[in-house]
Amino acid sequence: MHPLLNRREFLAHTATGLGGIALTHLLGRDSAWANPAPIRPDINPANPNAPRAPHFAPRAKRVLMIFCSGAVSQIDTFDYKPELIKRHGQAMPGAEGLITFQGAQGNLNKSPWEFRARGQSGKMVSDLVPHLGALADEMCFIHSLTGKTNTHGPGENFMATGFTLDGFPSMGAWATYALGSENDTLPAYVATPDPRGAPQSAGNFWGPGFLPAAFQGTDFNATQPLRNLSRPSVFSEHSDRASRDFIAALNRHHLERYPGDSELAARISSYELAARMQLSLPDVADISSEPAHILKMYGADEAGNPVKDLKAAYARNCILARRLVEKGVRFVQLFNGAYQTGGEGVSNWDGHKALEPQYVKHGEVMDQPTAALLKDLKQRGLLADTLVVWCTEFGRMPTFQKGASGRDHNPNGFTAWLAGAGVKHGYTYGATDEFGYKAVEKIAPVYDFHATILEILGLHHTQLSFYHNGIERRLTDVHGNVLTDILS
Amino acid sequence: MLAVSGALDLKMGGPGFYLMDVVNENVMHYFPKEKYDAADFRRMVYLFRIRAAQDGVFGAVDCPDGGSVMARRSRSNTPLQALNLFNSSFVTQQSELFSNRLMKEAGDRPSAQANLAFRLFYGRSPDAFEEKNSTAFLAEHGLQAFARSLFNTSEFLFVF
Repeated sequence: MHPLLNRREFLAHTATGLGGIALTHLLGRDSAWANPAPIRPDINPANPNAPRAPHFAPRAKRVLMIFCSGAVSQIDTFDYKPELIKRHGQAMPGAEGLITFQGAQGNLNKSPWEFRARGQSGKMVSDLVPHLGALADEMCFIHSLTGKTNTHGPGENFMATGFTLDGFPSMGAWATYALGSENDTLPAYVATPDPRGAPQSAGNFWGPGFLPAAFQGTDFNATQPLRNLSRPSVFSEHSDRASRDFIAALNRHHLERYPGDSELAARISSYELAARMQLSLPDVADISSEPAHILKMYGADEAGNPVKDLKAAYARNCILARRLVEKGVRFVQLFNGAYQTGGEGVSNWDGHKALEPQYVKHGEVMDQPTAALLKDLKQRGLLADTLVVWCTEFGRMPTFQKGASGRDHNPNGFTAWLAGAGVKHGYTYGATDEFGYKAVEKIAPVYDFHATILEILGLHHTQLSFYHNGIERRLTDVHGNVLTDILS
Repeated sequence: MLAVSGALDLKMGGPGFYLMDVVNENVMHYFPKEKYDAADFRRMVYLFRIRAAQDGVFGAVDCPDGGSVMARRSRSNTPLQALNLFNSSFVTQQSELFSNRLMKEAGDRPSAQANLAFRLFYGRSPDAFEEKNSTAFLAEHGLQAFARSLFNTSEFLFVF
């Protein structure tokens, strides 16, 4: 049994402890160890998406985030490994008994696709994505990303929110919370799900977490219009207009009894905005006004088999994404791949067992439309103030799974690329080992990736915060270093 | 809304209800329901809360995530809320249920309808301005459009 602490001992023991607290406080206040003060944007509930100034001069005003569900293999796209080709069919050294997500490993397996030097930079990109490869000079590759989980849902949460658990605000929610919107007739934050459906973490990906609901992403795409945008068919157009007038009359009458109540005034203005949105959203989502050469450039005019139909549907989402960026939407998410219409690599990049036949289709669907989107943004001058981010859940193994022709999950080293405002072009940051298994050079946890995106938007990732349940919450939690090497 | 339309089911106990359609792949996928029936019109304490997805009724209105304690609820005012309240299948359906209730309880005279509607919606009678405008609106656009409008008024939506 431990003897009870007597008063004398208590004072003796705690003297250093209490002094330590005071010392930390003093150091914290005055020295370089100081935690920077939290910056919580001042939100007017009456107009939560009013534009707000960044913390410092931004490199980009808005973000287009292209996210591939299922975890795209770096080995088969952007992370070229000659050593893997040389040692194709051999065991991976040091991987004896290595168990990954689905089980044991087979041997090292080179990509079924050839790699070629692209553009001025000579960046090696595989023939799976030739259109994107042709734009390698526009891109800033990060090959040394690392994640915290090798499971889809948590991996998507981690890339989307910086946490593997549910319930945290998405990157776009943080950006709109900080910056508001440049366009007051469109949502500040739009998520455009793949024609095949949603990512596995679904609404988490564009959710507000504990931030006010005003900062959640609005999800619609070129096939599925925004919910509740149009008038229910039981009400005529005439009755619809009369209802708006009637509501406005009753609200004004009510406001007279509560003069100066800003929330009531806000209600009226949000109805006016809803009415403007009803007019402007169908307009921005209607891509039928796009000329034939643009449809062709994206592949939106293709048809004739299921893969071409899918490519055309994804291409229409890409055109929609460009139109939203053009209108000044602060944060646009564009999704490629989905789960509920076919997991295990059927509708997404999760190529566990039959990587080659599945990736042939996914490559065809993603490559040309995504490349066209980047080219189109550039030719319209939009890359001057828009950051484009291409990312995925985590990476895949350089080995094939034991007894299968596909790669298992691997969060130890994977690739993302950025383009447009704020980053170097034709640039490569970090590297994985000789097989593409583990990040070994300039290792960049996803926190660093998030910190860098906020930096490009002119936001201090250590300071942008929201007080929730006793904690100043941040996108990067207590982590994150800005990857200054990649900034332009 | 359920209390006003008369659809609220106050029965205690029994299995909960979903505001989501559920598709089971490797994991569960949730889609906001577009159609609701009597089994969904229960008190929210019986709602099966999904943490990973926003439903179509509460998703736009600062309903806290069910996964952690929310010491103070955020409040925001957005056009998406206005669109939900004005155009959603849920509000359209509640408007229809309310008009059935009013026909039964107030008959077909617009002034009796307006009076009962104001008592049910706001707990008070309409003043002269409100009664005049309400009866005129009812005469031209009918009960369902009237109910839809009242569901969207500030006095109904805000607690003072």
